[in-house]
Amino acid sequence: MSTLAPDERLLRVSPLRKLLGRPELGSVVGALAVFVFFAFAADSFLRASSLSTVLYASSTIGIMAVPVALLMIGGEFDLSAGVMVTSSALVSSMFSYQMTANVWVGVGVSLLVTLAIGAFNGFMLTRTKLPSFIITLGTFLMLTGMNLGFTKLIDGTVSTKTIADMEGFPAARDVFASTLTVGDVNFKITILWWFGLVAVASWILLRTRAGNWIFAVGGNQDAARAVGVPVAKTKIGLYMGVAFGAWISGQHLLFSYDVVQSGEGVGNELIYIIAAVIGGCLITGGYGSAAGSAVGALIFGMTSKGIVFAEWNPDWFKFFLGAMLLLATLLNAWVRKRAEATT
Amino acid sequence: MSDLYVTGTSMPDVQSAIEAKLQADPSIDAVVTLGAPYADTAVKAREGAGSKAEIDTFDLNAKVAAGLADDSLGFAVDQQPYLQGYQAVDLLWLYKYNGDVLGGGKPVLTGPQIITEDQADELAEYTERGTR
Repeated sequence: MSTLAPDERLLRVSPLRKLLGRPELGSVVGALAVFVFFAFAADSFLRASSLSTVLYASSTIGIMAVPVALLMIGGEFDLSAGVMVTSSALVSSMFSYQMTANVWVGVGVSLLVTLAIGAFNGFMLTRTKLPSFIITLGTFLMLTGMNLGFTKLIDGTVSTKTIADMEGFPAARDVFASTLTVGDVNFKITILWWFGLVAVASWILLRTRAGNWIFAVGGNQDAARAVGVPVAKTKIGLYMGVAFGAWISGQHLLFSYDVVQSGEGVGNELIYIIAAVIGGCLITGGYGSAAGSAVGALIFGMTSKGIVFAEWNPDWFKFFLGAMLLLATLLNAWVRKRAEATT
Repeated sequence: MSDLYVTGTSMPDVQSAIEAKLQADPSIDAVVTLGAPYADTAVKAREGAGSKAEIDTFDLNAKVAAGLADDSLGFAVDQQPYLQGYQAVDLLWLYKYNGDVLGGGKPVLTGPQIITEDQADELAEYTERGTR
């Protein structure tokens, strides 16, 4: 007499397996591997001050990778995310300077303008039904042109005038670009913004109705609409989330350097997407996590700065970067596959 | 001497890369950036890394002039791009209008000029309007 195999849904899965099966925890293994590797490959990597540099590099990617990951879980891309950061910084800087206003006024105006750009992306996408790749490619190019065009038109040069001597600047710098000293190590405040965003985004994804909507529209848009998920509202919200991240990054850029170069940001959109994907987001949508995007940003930050710490030949930097990212992601995928296997 | 490549379109990346390099090799005593916008970022990286390296740069902008004046930068190599463009047109016009040939038919050098703290103050006006 043969015994029936028990239903796979009733199988007991060990807690470790369950943990490793989460989207972000597969990538944690990759992050650990990169960390251990550079701990051995670079003498200076393990110093607290070096780790603070790595965390800073990771945080400036991570702040944008969080909303970009949410957007990707929702099944869409945003190619305008990189230059939107610059646009946000430019609006803030030029508004304050031209109006001779307290810099906080510029910061506020910048938030409204940036959110409007995000809403435009989402609105165009849901109205035209064109792929988000095309819509945001258009926005990307238009913003790149507007960044340079408006800066030249208003300031006469390719960068903005310094606003360091304007009212409210010190307070705004404290919020967006200060350095916190713990012991004798300096940490940039962007790290706190990053962790904060990860926490809020994780809560939205896992604990709220909007989080379920995001997974649903990314998994199967038509099915989601059929069960009453407000697809258009969710997607517009996700694009406005990316805009919010761009606003934080943009203000960091402005208050850290007090002038803004109009040509900045091009190419960063890809890095945000890379961080989200390394962190376990599916390019096709419906799967991923906010914490995973943070781990992805950390892997990217550790690798790109670790190569400098290891003092490898800089001519080969991009090769090393590519190879390390590939290996880390292969390791992630392997761990996840092993963890998801039920037998 | 060693090279360091940075992502020029991302200032935080420039800063953290220079910071990492200075932390990795504390014996570095000078950093030369290849563009004016990166000089001030290198100064910030130097602070972050607790390094004493001198920061110098190619090219000039208002921020670099201010950095030279307050001694956070050592020198700037100004290739005088405004002159590079303007002088060529001027020479052409003189030749067409008057048959003038400057410099005895030999190349006329429009730069570079090495700028230090001493000239920084008088340059502020020109860098502000973007012609230097």
